[in-house]
Amino acid sequence: MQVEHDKEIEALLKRVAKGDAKASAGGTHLDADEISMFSENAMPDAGRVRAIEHLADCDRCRTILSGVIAMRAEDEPDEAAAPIAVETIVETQPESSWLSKFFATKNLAFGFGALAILFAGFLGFTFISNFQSGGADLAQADKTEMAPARAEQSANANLEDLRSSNEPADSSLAETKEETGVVPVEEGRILAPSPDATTGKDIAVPVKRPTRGGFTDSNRDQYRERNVPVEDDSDRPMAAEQEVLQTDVASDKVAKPKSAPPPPAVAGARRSNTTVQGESNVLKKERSDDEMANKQASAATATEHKQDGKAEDSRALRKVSGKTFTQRTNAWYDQAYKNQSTVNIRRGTNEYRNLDAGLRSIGDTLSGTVFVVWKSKAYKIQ
Amino acid sequence: MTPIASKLKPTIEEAVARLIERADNPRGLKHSDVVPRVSRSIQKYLLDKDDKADHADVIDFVDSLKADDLCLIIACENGDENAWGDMVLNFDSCVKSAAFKFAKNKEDAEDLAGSIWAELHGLKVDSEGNKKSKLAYYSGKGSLAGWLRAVTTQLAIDEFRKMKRIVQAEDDREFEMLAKDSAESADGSAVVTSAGNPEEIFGAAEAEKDVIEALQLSIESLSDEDRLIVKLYYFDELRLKDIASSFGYHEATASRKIVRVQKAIRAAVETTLKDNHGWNESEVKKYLTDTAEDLGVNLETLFAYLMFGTLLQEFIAIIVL
Repeated sequence: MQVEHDKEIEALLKRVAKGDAKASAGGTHLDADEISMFSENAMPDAGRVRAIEHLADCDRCRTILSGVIAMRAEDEPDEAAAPIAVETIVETQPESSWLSKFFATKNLAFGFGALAILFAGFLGFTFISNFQSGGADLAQADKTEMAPARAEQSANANLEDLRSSNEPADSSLAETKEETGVVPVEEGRILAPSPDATTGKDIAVPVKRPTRGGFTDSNRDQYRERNVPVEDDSDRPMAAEQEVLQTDVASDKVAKPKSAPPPPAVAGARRSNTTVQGESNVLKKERSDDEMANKQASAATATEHKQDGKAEDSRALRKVSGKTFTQRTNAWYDQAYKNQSTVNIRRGTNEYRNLDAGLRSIGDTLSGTVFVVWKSKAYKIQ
Repeated sequence: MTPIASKLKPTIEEAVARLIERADNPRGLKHSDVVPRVSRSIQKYLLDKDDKADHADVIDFVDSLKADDLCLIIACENGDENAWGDMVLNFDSCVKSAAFKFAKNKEDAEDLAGSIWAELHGLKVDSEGNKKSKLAYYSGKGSLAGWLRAVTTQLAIDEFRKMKRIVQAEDDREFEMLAKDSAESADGSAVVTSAGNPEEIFGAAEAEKDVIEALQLSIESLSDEDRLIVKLYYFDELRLKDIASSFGYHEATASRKIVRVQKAIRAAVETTLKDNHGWNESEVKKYLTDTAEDLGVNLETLFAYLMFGTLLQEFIAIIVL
């Protein structure tokens, strides 16, 4: 329900209020008890009428009453306030200028205010979003700059790997076959005729693993690279590896491990049915031939070792976080990695971030694919 | 003062017994300490105003008394030091707050508060040697805090009324002086009108007088309650909410009363101006409209300018940014 106040009469009343002479009604003034009772609406009906009659004309008592009411409203706002019915009070506008008419609608005025606030909010939001996006763009630019650099590094590394891996791994074997006639019987073992021919038996002695070039158990990886199956004998002591293969010339059989490929024909094995003299001459000849063959074989192995050493030097070896990695075929292999099943993890993923710090440092240090054994678990980091 | 009818005495005593039981801290008061006090209040507010007050009215009256405040006051009157201590402790802030409203500075306020406490304690002695204290005037019908505010206001007004009279005497004549000056001024810088020639200025001044007279007559023609509400609202500048709480109705009701009163005043003013001063309809409307415009403050125009300025500021900020 809208209640319209007469603004013109209000203005006149306010003018009169300023010039109102302080009148004092006749009769007995209200005492403090009556005024306080009236202000709290606690006066009995019988005395209330008299009080209103006096207060309407007595400025002194009315001033005291208004003072008490005002102080009570300030000190006790909850108690002083009567239940308020929700009503809107609209003041009538006198006929006046077009400006007043234009803004006569309260909603229009509030609408302007809301528009101003909305506009300010939009400005602030735009400014903040621009500021944030500018910072994000800078970060993105940094990342994009670094990515090509990293890609270039990995490409170079791969290129080096390719170069190193393209060396003919089997060429040394071919040379061995052609020059020395010695054919590796089994993995890592070269069967060569024994210089001792008196027994008539050819004793195949395994060639010692060459020490030149720093061959260690890790060199087994080289044989793996040549796609020559190598037994996982890393735990076996070295002495156990030096098995003497006994050959029976008569039977022309060669004892060999099961995993070894079938041995090729032994070129050095010969049967001699000649006489003793003939045999001695033949033996002498054979001896010299054998010496020649040994020399050539040793030269070939030396060449092979040189080549292998070069190849080894060309393949990268790195030690990260206490682990040694060798690089081949665009990947880094932990020495402890034995082709076991791996947990594949990609760099930049949450799984990668959840890895141990040491493992992550390996992944961050070595580029490309990394095969690493960490806490008895094999990982493939890409 | 007629004595209380004997038939009402048992009712009063029973009601007082309930009052003492109702109090959280009766302060060791006996039945005989409270009955005389309550009887005087009943006499003053019920029986003197209405001879037909019956038992129900008495019971309602006593049951509506503030039991704790009344027991505290009676205990103070009886010289209970603990009661005095509690009263000062609990209500000193109320008295000082009221004193600050009327005092110019802190020292005057504290002096006023001290005077009030002295008055309450009783500086004067009656013929029998008993202290005459304002505490005797507290009936317990209203709250003790409200009563103390009223006492403080009353004392402050009485104490500073002389100075106020001098100042208010000048204020009282302020409007009349303005009217006189506007009538006598040659440049036409009148409050009401900006007429150019002396005849018009004199006419405007006379018109103002007529309007004031009509307005005062219209106010006097209102009922007591309406007149009181108008004066509380326009003269004392109280809020409608506070006025309504004192009268026991809603603020909306008070607002409707104001509107009704305004209509009545307008009708009375127009009638007086037409009948007693010979104004015509157009003159009456024109003068009342001009008076409202001359108030000077158009809140909506100000708000419009404020919004325009805010939008302009935002627009400039966009350009700069």
